[in-house]
Amino acid sequence: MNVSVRTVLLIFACAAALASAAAAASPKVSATADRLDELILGRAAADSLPIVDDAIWLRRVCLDLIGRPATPAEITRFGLDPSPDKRRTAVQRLLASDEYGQNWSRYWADTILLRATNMRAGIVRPTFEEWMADSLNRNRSWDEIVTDILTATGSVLEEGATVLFFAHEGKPEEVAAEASRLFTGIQIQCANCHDHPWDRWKREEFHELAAFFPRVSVRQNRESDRRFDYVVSSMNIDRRRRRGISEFLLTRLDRDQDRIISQQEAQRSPLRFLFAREEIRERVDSDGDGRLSFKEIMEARPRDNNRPGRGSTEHYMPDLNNPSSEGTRVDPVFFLSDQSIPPGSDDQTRRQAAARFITDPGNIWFARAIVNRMWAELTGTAFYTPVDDIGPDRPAEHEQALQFLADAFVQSGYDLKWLLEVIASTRIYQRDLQPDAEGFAAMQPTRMRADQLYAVLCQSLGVDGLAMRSLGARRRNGIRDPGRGAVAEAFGFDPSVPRSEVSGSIPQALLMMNSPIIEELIDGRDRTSPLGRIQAAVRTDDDAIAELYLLVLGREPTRQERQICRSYLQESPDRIEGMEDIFWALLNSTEFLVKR
Amino acid sequence: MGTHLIDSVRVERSGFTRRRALQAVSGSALAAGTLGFRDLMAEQAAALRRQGRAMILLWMQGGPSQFETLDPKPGTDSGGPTEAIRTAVPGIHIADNLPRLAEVMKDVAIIRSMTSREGSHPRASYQMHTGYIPAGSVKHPSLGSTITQQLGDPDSELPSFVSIGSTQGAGFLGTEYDPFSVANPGQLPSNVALTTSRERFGRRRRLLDRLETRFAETGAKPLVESHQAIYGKSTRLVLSPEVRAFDISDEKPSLRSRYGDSRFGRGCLLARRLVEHGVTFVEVRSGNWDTHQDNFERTAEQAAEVDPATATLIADLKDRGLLERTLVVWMGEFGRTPKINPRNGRDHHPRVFSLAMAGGGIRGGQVFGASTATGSNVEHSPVTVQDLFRTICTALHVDPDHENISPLGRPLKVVDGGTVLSDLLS
Repeated sequence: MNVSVRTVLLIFACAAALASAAAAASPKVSATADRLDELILGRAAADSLPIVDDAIWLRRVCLDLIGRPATPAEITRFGLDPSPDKRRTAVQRLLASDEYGQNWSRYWADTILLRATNMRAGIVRPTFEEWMADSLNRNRSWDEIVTDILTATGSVLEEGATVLFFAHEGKPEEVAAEASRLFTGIQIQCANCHDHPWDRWKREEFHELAAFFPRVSVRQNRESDRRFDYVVSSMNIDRRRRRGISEFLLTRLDRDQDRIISQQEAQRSPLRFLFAREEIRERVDSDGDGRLSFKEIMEARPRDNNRPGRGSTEHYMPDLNNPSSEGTRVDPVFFLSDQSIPPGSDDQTRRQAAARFITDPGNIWFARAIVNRMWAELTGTAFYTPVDDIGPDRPAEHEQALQFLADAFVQSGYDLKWLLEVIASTRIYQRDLQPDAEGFAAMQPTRMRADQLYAVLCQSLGVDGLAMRSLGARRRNGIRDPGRGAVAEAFGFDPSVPRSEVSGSIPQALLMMNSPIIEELIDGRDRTSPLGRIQAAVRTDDDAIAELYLLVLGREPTRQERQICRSYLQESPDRIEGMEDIFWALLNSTEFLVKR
Repeated sequence: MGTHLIDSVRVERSGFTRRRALQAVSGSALAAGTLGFRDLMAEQAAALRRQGRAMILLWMQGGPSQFETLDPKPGTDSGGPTEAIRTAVPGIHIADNLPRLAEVMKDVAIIRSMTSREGSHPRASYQMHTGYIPAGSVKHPSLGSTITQQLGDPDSELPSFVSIGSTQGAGFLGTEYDPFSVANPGQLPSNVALTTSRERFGRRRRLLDRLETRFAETGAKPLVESHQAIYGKSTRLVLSPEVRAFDISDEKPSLRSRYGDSRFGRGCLLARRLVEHGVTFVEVRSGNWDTHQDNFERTAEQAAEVDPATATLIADLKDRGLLERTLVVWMGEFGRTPKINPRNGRDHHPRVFSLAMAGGGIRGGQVFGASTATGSNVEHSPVTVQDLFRTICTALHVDPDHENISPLGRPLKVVDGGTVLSDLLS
């Protein structure tokens, strides 16, 4: 065993060396973490903060960084490791593993897609997760990733960065609202219809942001061999219905004065296009009588009647008193810095500019939003709650600490792994459960995301996946693994919502209590099942109980818990049944659902 | 009032969250700062009036052709080969695909002048379920959620909102108002049947409770309490004799065959059983109405399944004295074009379409509104989605102006605008 520990340590050491070489320009992790603790709690309080034990810490940090709990073997190995630096090395090892990117790509998929207005948005999920996981694992900087998302083009089945535009069918207002919410943390979309009641944002400012995105087209690719293939592209040519078909022109052409334009009358006139294709004539002939009246020609709408004005290369702010009118043309200006670009710029110029303005180090909200979001996800406390409603009109907790961390993050070159390493290195992150403490020192168990829970469930049951069927509740979420999909259906929530507002549900409880698939896997008579293997490996009940606790909850049972389980076994008609029931109870416990 | 899928215990240490507190009472009463004794009394009186009201939504996914169902135009180019037949109400004719519905027409009101602007399936389905068009900033709750929020019985052992097949969820109202889904009507829903004996299940639950108490003592008390409340409800559900409502095998074979041995037929029968057992809102889904090709054959096939089930549901509810308090609505997301395309199909047509309503607060035996001779437009009395929703709420004694507070603190009415179509009400 010594040999293997040494090998592991050696690998850790190499990884640490590599990581620190890469981050040479970044502020030092440990110094930054110490300073944060001090700014938030004060030196003395930070130093006296009770730190959680190795087993719980390892489970916590594994769930946070790689989305699955530590295995019993990993917990044991970690506990036996005498190195004083072992937590630091473990964090670096986790950030270097591919599971890191996979975990956070799923976090971002939920964050973006659970707010999608496009009901088919799930189609892009696998592509997005793959792209995002790769970007995160290569540790591309946050500004690079955001720039890719804001400037993406291509098929949603090939280019994962198209996620945001596809999620909102390229609609400028929705994209603007989401880009602001996700990347600056500021909810500006209330200003869509009216000046914001309690924020400073004006209606014009929201529409000036939307004006960065009017030239994005999201269309179904009919040539694709896949049934649902959509393409995000730039559309710099005005494709609105032809304007200027005036009644005057129609009267001139209408030789027999029946207020109907026949094919013959349209010949050699600009209106001959109406008869060029069957499809166009059918669309214009709205009453289906086979004839094109003045009214039909003047009122002809683009094919998709859901989006009047679609196809325009400019953004128009609707006139609220006259919603069917064109509204006022608005040119792109970024509301946080008043930076603008020349009117009439093409799509890529607009989107590149939007990305540049949003990710500009001068825009403090870009760094603050991600720093606050990551801090909240890891520590269960936040400078701003909810994480997607921040901005100059919201008071922050520990403003100084937030600014310090945001500045350091900018200095690191928007390095996400660096940011997570800093947060995981604070004493606050490592604190023990402290339900009665105040402020950031308090530590309460928080509900896991569905993907984390699925990983815990699979690991506890000793399987790679669960062959569960959809509960039939929601539309396809795009998740391919059926078990992961079913668990997401029951347990999924928008990660931007504060955990304290996420509630449990009956379908969740039923899935854990009564799923025949889970019941089959807790079978203690099957020698290949987790319980069967435990039974074969250990002699005493106490050891078997301890192994079950380690497997399901990642810790040893307390004396009292051991007592409860032991007496339960004594009362059970059958010992193996009794062990199965303990297994069942642990899987159905509150503790199983939470990170702590 | 009314919760079902979860208890209302909040997990937060500070107790109530701002959002929930605001949701508890109507926004307008809060704004005025007046929610006095009188309001509470009025609330109670309203509660009595609403007692036992329920709604069954028969959802025709894909958009059924009005020409082949409720608004036939025989002898016109738009009408195609579909014939019209007489109904039990003189003067009202419907398509020959719906002979059984024709027999119960005295209880049915048809709207032939529905109109909307949403011509894509997902958007139109969203609007016809929530009354709102999709917006990224807020996920609107479906009608099933807002209705159960107001009418649901908090003491019911069964969930108050059941969906047979998938549907829109509760949006920002939260998982407690989400539908409880049944994938296969007639059988117990997923994970409801016990996987062990009742005795052993009871032992497991007691063990869980003992272990939970220990975890609660380590400081996770609010979380454990909320978890236990949900487990309490779930346990009551799985052990309740009421879950038999989900199992239709004890229905008489003759009645079962009247509903039809189809997924939709079983769904309708299940809907009746659930309403009988106090469920507030049931949605039953029929797919495949999107007839861009072979419209006439395919609509006839769909109708052959849906017509007997719908008519039997109305008659069966009536026989049991349930129709008076149960509103049945038959609709899809939009209608279909007057133009028959080269593939003998009809395309999407939201500009004018039809739907049917029966029971609970609706005066049957009438047609409301009309389409033009060619069926391309509304002839008179256009009905918007908001008009429809406001009328449904009124029929059920649900307050359409009740305001729920969106996560960003914006008050949103159950129905935003619209006018009650009082001619439809009984």
